[in-house]
Amino acid sequence: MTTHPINLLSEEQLAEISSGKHWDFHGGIYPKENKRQSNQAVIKDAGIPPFLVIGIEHKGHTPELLVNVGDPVLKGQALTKVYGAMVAQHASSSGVVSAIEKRSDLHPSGLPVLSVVIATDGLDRSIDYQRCADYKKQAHALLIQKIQDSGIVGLGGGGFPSHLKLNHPDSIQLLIVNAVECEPYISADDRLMQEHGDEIIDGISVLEHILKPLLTVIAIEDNKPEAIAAIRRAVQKQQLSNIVIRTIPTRYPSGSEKQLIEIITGRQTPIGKHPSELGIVMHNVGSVFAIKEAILDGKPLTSRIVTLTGDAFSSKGNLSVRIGTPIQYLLDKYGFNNQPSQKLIIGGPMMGFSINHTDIPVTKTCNCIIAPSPQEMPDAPPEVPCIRCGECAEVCPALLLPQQLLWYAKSQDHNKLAEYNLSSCIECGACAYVCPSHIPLVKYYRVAKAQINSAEEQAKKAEIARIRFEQRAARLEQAKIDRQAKHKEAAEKRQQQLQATNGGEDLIAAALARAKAKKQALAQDGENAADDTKKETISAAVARVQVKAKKQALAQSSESAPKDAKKEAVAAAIARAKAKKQALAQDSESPADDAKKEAVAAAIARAKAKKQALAQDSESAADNTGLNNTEAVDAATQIADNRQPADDRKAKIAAAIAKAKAQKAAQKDQ
Amino acid sequence: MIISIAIAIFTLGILGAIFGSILGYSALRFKVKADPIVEELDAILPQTQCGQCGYPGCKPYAQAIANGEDINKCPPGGEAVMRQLAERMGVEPKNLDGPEKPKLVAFIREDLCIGCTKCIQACPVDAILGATRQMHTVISDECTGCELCVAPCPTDCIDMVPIALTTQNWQWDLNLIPTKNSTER
Amino acid sequence: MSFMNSTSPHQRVRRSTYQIMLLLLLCLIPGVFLQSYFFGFANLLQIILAGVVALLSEALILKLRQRPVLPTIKDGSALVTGVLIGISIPPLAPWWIGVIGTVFAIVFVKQLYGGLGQNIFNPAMAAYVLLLISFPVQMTTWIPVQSLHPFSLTLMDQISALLTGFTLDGYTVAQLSVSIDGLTMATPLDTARNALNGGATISEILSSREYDASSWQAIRWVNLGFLIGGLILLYQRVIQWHIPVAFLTGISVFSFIAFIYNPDLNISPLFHLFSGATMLGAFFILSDPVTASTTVKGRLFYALLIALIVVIIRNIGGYPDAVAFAVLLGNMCVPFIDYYTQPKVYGRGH
Repeated sequence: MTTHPINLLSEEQLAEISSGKHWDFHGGIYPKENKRQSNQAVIKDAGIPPFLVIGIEHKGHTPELLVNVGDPVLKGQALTKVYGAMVAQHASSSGVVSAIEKRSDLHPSGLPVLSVVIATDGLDRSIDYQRCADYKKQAHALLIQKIQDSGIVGLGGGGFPSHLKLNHPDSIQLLIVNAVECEPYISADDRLMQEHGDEIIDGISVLEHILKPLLTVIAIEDNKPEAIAAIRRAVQKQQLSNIVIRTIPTRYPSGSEKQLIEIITGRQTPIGKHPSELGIVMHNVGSVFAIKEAILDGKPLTSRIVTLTGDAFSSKGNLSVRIGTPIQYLLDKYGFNNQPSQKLIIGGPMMGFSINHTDIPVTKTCNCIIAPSPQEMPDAPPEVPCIRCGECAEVCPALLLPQQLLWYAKSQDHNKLAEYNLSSCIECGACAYVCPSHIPLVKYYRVAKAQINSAEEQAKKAEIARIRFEQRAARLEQAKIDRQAKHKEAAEKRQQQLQATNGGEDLIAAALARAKAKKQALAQDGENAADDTKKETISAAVARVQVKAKKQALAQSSESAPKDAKKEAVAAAIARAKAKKQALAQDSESPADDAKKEAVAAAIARAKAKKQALAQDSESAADNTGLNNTEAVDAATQIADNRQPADDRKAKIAAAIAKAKAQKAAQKDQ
Repeated sequence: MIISIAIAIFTLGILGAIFGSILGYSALRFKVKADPIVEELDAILPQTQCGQCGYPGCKPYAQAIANGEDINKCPPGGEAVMRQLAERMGVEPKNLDGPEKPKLVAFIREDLCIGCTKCIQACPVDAILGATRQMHTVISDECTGCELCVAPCPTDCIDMVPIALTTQNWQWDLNLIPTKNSTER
Repeated sequence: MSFMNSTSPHQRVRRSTYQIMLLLLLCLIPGVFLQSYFFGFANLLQIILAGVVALLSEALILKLRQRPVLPTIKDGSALVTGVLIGISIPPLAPWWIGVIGTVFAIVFVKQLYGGLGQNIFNPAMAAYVLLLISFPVQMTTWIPVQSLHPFSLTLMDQISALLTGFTLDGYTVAQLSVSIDGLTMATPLDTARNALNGGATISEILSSREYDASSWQAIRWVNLGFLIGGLILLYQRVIQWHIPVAFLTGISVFSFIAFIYNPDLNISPLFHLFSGATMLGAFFILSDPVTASTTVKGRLFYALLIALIVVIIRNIGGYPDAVAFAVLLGNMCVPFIDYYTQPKVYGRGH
C-alpha cells in the first residue's frame, strides 16, 4: 500500500491541528446521553463464571487449535495458533477445556461458531507474564508480532485486528486515539481513562515508538470532563511532546473513524481507501490500554470493560469482564429484573443489536449490555410510508440520500444502489433516528448489502463454473479425438500384422464368431431360467471348460500329467458344491436374502477355488522341490491369506452393490 | 374545390415520400450492429449446466432465448434471473416452470461409495474428486447444485444438502430468528 | 428466558407524521382566523366541508385499494389537503365545488398515484387548478369584506348560500359579490390584471375605486396571518427554512427586477408578497415534503423556479394568481432537479 504524496497532510495542516483548530462533519444528531447512570462508579471485576466460552472461528476461518478437550489451561494461555491476519485467542481464566464445539456467537444472527469451552476452577492462575520494560530496543516487527499474538483487536466495537494498522509505519504522520465514545449509554472508555490514565499514555508511547508519527491527537468528547482532566494530568506527568488533547463537541456519530478524521483534520478519506493512505492511524483508547498491557506487562487480551446499563438492571456500572463470560452470568450478578417484553441490546442504542437468549459469551467486541425498561426504549411504532421530508439526508454523516437508498433497496435495484453509494453507509442509524415515519432504514440497507454481496458471490461462482464447464468440454473433445486417432493407428497396425502372418485371415474374428454361435445355442437351452438342474449342468460345463483351459496352459508349461485328473476332480467338486448351495438358497424366503446369499456364496466359492488352485500349485512346486506336504500346505495357505484381502474387497464390493440393490428393491416394495 | 383537395393530397403525398425516404435511408445508413446478445444472456444465467431447462447447458439455452424461447425455464436462476432475462429481451416476466429451490450442493456419503466414477463422468463442471476404485468426494465450492450426479450413482450415496448458513452469508432476516419481532404487529 | 427482537436504532425521535400534520393544521389557524374575520364564516364552512369530504373519500378509496383504512387516515395528511383546498376556494362557492375539488385531490392525485409519499403533484394545487379551469365563474366570485357588504350575511345565510346558491333572503352569490359601491368584488391581483389589460398604469390602479373595493387591506392581513403561522412552523422545525426563504426571496428579487424595469406596468414586490396565496404557498404549499425536491440544493432551485414562474405569470400571463400553476410546473421538474443536485458523498472528490 503506497501513499500518494498528495493525500498526506501537509506541515501547515499539522500545525493547524496541533494549534487547536478542528473541523466539522455533515449531519449528526444529538440523542440523550444517558451516561450518568453508569459512569459514576469505579470499574468492578465481574468475577470468574463457572465456565467460559471462547469463540475461535472468525469470518468462516478456523485456525489451528493448541489445546484438546481435557487439557488444563492457565489464564493467558494461547488457545489457537496465529493464522494469517487473525489474532490468537487466549484462555481468560484457569481451568480445564471441557468441550470444543459449536456455540452461539455474539452476533445478531445467533449462528453458532466453533468455540472452546473452559470449565473454570476459580483459582485464576495465570501463565508467567514476561514483562518488558525496554521495548524500545526491540525491532518493530517483533512488537507488531507480539500485539498479534496477544490477541488485540479494535475494542471500540469494530474488532479489526490492531496489528494490521501498524504494518506500514513509514508514512504515518498522525496518530489519533479515539476516546470519543459518542454512542449514548456507553461509559466504558470514560471510566477506563479516569482510572488508568497513566497506562493509556504508556500505551500511546508504545504506538508512537512503532509508528513515529509527527503528531498524536487524543480526541475526547466534551461530555467527559473528568476523563479529560485525568488524561491531561497523565500527559503532563509523562511530559510527552507532540501529543495534543482535542476536546470535540458532543454529537453522534463523531466517534466513527471517518467522521473523527474529518473533525480532527478536515479531510475526507477517499472512498475505497484506508485512512493510512492519508497518513493517519486511529486506535480506540481501550485497544491502546490493551497494547500497553501486552507489550509492557506481557499480558495477552483476556478481559475488557463492559458497561451494564438500562433500567432493568438494579445496579448499573462498568465491569471488567473476562472474555468468554456467559451473559446470563452477568445478568445474575448485576441484579437483572426481567420485565415483560424485555429487550437485551448488545452495544449502544444506535448501533447495537438485540439478542434472544443469554447463552451467549461476551466477546472482544462487546462494549455494552443494555437492558432497557419499556419506557426507556419503547417498541418502534408501525412503519408508515416515506413522506420525503428529507430529514434523513440532513443528518447523514456520509452525505448520502437515505430516501433514494430506501426506494432502491425496496425494489432491489442493485445498480442504482451502487450508483447512490450504498457501500459508503456506516450504518450509524442517524437517519432512522429522525425518520418521522418510523421506517427502519438501517435494516433495509443491511438486507440490501447482504443481497448485493451474495449476488456478487454467485456471479463470481457462475463465471468459474462456466470456465470449468468449457474446459471440461474441451478436454472431452480432445480425448475423443485422441481416442479416434489411436484406434485408427491400432487398426492399421493390425492390418499390417495380419498381412504379415496369416495372409489376411482374421483368426480372432473367427474365434469370436464361433463363441457367439455357442452362446446362442446355450441360450436356447437355458430358456427356462428357474430350472436348477439346467443351471447345474451349465455351471458344471463352464467349470469343465475352465479346467480344460487350465490343463492346456499347464500342458504348455509343465509335464506333470497325472495332476490333470486330480484337478478335474477338484473342479467338478467345486461345481457340485455350488449347485448344492444354490439349491439350499432357493428354499429361503425373501429375495433380498437370496441375492445376498448368492453373492456371498459366489465370493466364498471363488475364494475357496483359488485356495485350492494355490494349494495345487504349491503342491506341485513342493513335489518338484521335495518339500514336506504339510509345509507346502502351510505356505499355500499363507499365500492364500495374503491374497485374501483382495478377494475380500471384491466380495465387499459385490456385497455393497447387492445391499444397495436390495434397499432399492425394498423401497420399491414399500 | 376539388382542385384544392387534390393539391392538398398531392403536397402531403410528396412530403410523405420525401420524409419516408429520408427515414428509410437513415435506418440503413446508421444501423447499429446488434450486440452479441447470446453472450449477454449467458452472463445472466447461473452456469449450473444442469439441463433442467431442456437444453444441454446454459449457452445453448441462451442461444434458444435469443431465438425466442421462453425465459422462465431456469429453476436454479430463480425469480431474479428470470426478471433479468425478461428485461434484456424486452418481454413480460413469466412465472417459473417449477418451484424455486434453495441453493443445494451435492454430498457423497463415503461409507457407501464404491469408486465407480459414474458421478465424476456426469458432473458438468468437474466438481467431483476421485479415481477408479478410489474414494470420491464433492468439492463443495465448485458444485453448482445441478443434481446430474445423483441419478448415475449405483449405490445411491449422493445427497443434495443446503449450503450451510454462516455469519458471512446471513441475509439479516430478523424474522428467521424464532422469537416475536418487536416491530411486527 | 427469551427476549424480543428489535432492529437498530433502538431509540428514535418521538415526532411522527401525525404530529407534523397536526402542527401544520394548528399553524394555519392565524391565517384562517383572519380570513374568517374579514370575509365571514363561510370560509370555515368550506374548510370543514372539504376536510370531512377528504377523510371520507380517502377511506373509500383505501377500501377499494384494499389497504388498512384507519391507520392511514390517522396520519392526517388527507385532512391537511382538504383544509388547504377549503382555504383556497372562494368562501361562498357552492358546496359541490369543494366536494369535487377534494375528491379529485384525494382520489386521483394522491391515492391513485400510490398514496402517501408517492404522489408527484401537490393534491391541493392540482384540485385548485382543476376547479379554476372547469368552473371559472364560481371560482372567481369573491365576496367583499364584511364592512363593505351591501347586505348583512348571517351564518345561516352563508350556509344556505353554500348549499343552494341563494341566501335566505334570496340573493344570489353573484349579487353578493357586489360591494356597496356597486363594484364587483375581485381579488386585488385580479383587479390589477384586468386594469392593466385595459391599459391603465399601476399608479392609476392603486388609486382607483375598483382597487379600493378589492379589499386589499384584508388580503394583506390574511397573508400576514399565514406568515405568522409559517414562522411558528419554522420555529418548531416542522419545515426547513430553505423553501420559504428561497421562494420569498425569489419573488422579491424577480418582481423587483420587473418593477424597476417599468414601475408603471409592473406591481411592486410588496404587492406580490402580500397578495394572493404567496404566504400560504411559501410556508404550507411549497414546503409539502412529498412533492418538493428532496436534496437541500434542489429545494432552493425548486423554490426559486416556482417564484420565477409565479412572477412571470402574474406580470405577463393571463391568470391573476399563479401560485397553483407554478407549483404544478415545479412539481414536474422535481425529478430532474433531484438528479442534478445530489450532494457529494463522503470520500468522493477532494
